[in-house]
Amino acid sequence: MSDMSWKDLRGLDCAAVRDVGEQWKHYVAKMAEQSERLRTDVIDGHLSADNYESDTADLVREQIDLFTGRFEDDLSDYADIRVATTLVDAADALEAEQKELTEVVGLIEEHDFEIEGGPREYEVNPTGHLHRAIWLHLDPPQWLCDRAGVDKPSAWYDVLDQAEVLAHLTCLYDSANELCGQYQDWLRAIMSRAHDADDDAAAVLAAMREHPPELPPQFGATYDDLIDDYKDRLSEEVASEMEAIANGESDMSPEQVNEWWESLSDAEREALIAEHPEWVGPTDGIPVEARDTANREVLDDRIGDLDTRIASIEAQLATLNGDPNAAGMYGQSGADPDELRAELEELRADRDGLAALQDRITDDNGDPAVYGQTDQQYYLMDFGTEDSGQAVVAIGNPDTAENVNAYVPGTTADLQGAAGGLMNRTETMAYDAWRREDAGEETATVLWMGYDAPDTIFPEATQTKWAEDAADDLESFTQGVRATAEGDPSNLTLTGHSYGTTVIGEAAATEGVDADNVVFVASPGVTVSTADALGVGDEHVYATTNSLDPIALTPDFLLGENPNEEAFGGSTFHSDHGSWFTNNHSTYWDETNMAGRNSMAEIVTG
Amino acid sequence: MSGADVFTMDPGEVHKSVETLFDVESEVEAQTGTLAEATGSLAQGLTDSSAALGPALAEAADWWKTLRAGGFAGLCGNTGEYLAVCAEEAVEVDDYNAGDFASYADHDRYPGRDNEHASARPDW
Repeated sequence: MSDMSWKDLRGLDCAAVRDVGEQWKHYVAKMAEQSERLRTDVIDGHLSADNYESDTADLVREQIDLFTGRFEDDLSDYADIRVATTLVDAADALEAEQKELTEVVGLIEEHDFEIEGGPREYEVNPTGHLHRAIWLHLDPPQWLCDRAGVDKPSAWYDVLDQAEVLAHLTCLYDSANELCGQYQDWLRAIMSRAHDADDDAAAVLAAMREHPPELPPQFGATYDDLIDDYKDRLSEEVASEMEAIANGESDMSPEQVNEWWESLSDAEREALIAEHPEWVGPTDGIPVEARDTANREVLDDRIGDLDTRIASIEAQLATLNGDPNAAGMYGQSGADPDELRAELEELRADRDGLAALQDRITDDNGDPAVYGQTDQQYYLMDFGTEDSGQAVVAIGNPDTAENVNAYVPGTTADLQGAAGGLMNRTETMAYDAWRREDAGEETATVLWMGYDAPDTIFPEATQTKWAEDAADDLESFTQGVRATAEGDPSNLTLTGHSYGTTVIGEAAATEGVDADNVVFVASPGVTVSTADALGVGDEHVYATTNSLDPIALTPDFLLGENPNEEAFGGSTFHSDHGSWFTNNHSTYWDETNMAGRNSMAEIVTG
Repeated sequence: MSGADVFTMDPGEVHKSVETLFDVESEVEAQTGTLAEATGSLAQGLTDSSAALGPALAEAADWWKTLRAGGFAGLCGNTGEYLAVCAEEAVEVDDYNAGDFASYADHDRYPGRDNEHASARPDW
């Protein structure tokens, strides 16, 4: 586990990390030349059938081909994708945090604050020197007087202004502490993301040693006994790797997954989609077209499985003592009717949710549906029925679009919503972007409901645990969009609504999100007190809340600072409310708020 | 067409294959050693900075050097020695062990691969 202190991070030689990563890439190229020598100079050259022909000759040529192939795969899978890419990516990630750290530490020192505490719980407080300047000398620094709206005493005998300082001590301290709090949040976010990058890199390197494929056996007494087993395992290797990636055992980043996917042959990729769509479908780093094909297959199967299970339980209930409504009675199977009914209800809800999702993204011929307003296809990037259900659906292909806007919904988001109202909002955003696009430009709009959203406003939506659980997956999603992009990276915006803004804030501050802009709509708080802590640059942080939305009443101590406040440091834009009689927390994508919708579309389309 | 009844060999060409195999083995070992050294140095610096990447990188580099690149280099060497025995005996070799190479090793042809080198192999 990463234990870097802020001083460790500040002194880290990121260039050296990148340099060694590049050395590994260079090494891979040099080693590939050696393997090529074996193929060209040995197998097809000196040891060709023209020079050596016999059973033994065939055996040796096959052996050289086997271990050369193994080495080439090792070079790609380990030396290049794991080690080299990990080092270069870690250098980039740590360097970005190091740059921000230099900035915030400079500000902390400039304001006469100091950093206290350990690597994961840093505190920023006024120094003793600043305390004395305020308390003892009644001569706070100019920046603090400006911040608190107090005239700075011009000299030691300026008793009038000193009296004003004395009268405003609380105000001065509140002002200093507010700034300390913002720098503290910023510092903690930097260190959290740096630790996350460090831990992720270490995990990839540790995981690659866990279950590596075996090397071919050497010639010798046991060769004949071992070689057939080796060949058998070789044929299953790609599927095993895919399984380890899908289960998270490989710890590879989406970029590394993409490199691995691209290293496969067309036949290997097609076989994986056909034989293991359940692994291909949800994996960030695999191109969206492949994921869509795999997920639609799995969705079909899942609905079929649920139908079978529902029919089975209905049959059990029908035969239980001849009375399907009997409660607390036990039939021959020993099943409890109450438990069966509860299970049936859950299965039906899952089934209905998935069927509704399938209907929404499939046309009458069973092909992927197209959203008529923008003429863009729906892509199913992920789905699930765990807890409230998950769905990640894109309108337009994020791999080829110039702009990508991912909408993160909030409290009560579920599968039915994903197929209904939440998808309506996603479509509205797709339409709004389409209206503003330049010719030849495309925006893919994604409903990212890849997390278990709170089911209730109170108490669930007042807790950060749902956002904490979602953070890693949202980080991975943004990295996946980057990894599979064809051509230049897209302009990627994360748009959160309500608790969805808390999810984005938590992910950005703790894990880091690879986004260009974040938009907070109707936010109850984003877990941090300053836009700087989000790691995307405060000029790329936007917020809006209409004047009749009760979310504005959420106290800061629950989910963090309201990003609409000036002190937060982002930009805000206006949203119109709907009628007085509607729920104005949910009118942001209605026609009554064209001002807000146009602002969002402007951000999304750059 | 190969098969039990077919046996043709140009021992000189086979010996050239052996030389290539030994040369690849040596190149891989040398370049991997250099890389592992540079990586180990970086890993130590990272460890000193309390980065989790430091120890993980050190172990990964050692694993790569010893087991993966090292394993490949070992297979080049083993196959080369086997081929060298085939070339010396000029018949089909069914029961091979590394000791066979030691007894046939031609120091002029394969400088540096002496008996001690062969006897260090696991199936000696």
